[in-house]
Amino acid sequence: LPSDREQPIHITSNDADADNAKGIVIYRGDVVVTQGTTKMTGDVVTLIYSADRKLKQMIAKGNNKERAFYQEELEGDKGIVKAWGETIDYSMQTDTVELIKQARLIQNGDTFTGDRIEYNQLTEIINAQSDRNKPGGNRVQMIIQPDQTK
Amino acid sequence: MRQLLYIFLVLGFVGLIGYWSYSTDNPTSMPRAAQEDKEPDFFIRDAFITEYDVNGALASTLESDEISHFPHNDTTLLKQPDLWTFEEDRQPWHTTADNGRILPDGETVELIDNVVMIQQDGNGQSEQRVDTDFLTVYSGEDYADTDAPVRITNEPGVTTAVGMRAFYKRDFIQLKSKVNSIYENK
Repeated sequence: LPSDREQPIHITSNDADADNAKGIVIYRGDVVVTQGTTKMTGDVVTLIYSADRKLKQMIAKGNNKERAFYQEELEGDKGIVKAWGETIDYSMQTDTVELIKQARLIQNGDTFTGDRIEYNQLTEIINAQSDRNKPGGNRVQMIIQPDQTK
Repeated sequence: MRQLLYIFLVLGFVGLIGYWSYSTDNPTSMPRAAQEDKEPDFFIRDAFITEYDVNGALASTLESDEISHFPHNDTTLLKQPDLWTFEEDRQPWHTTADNGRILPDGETVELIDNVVMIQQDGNGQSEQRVDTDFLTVYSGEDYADTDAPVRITNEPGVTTAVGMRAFYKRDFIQLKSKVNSIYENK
């Protein structure tokens, strides 16, 4: 929800490193990030700050057992968007969530997969791409549910 | 006869001296002496110690209600230590605690109970604050370490954890376990 952005961000993890000089905090081990209805999990989550200590970006990485995960409730009771990727790059400045490698996103019953998917939180627009340089790369696939079944 | 008496007197006197010196070197069951071993060999009340670096710049100031050095284990105890540490082109750190102990190496300082480390920003406001109940400062290696719970207040967030290692000259903090952060995203 857009109102999520005003909520406090809550993070739990096994351990963490804070490099205040560089404005980076790295959380490791069963990392769970919540902000209102938005939730992100990963094996390692890196927070990047601007010089004036504003949170700019969160990058979640999965591990070989589990991909990073992102979920957020949509406005107007349109359900929940769920997304997975080896890496999830969430930029607060552009309100975009980028899923990188083994990307998968489910919204409104429709499923998108590919090598890279970009989701815009404000417009709810989804941009899916395959990695053309990679032979046999994951071609973009979309499964759009007929309206009556939604 | 007089000479004999004289010799006895001299011998007696020498014997007395001998016994006296013997007894002081070899206290048999002298609880008072054992007690004396545990006494400080020096103490300073309302101490204020200033330290300068090799270039003459102010490095640190230490205030304490009482500083006592104990020869039997070569440790120095501090009451209410209040330490300012200054670093070129960096904001100073202000560290306080109920008690402190300087270990025999002279570089390791244990801070005990109500340990508060505050780094101010340029306007004297608290920018970073660390609260814990026990902290060991390895001043020779420029880091502080604890296995106790810590609370770090660092705008815009507050983080709690169990165990911390802080490389205060590099502004780098490692949190060892059970990390829990809340950021106010203003």
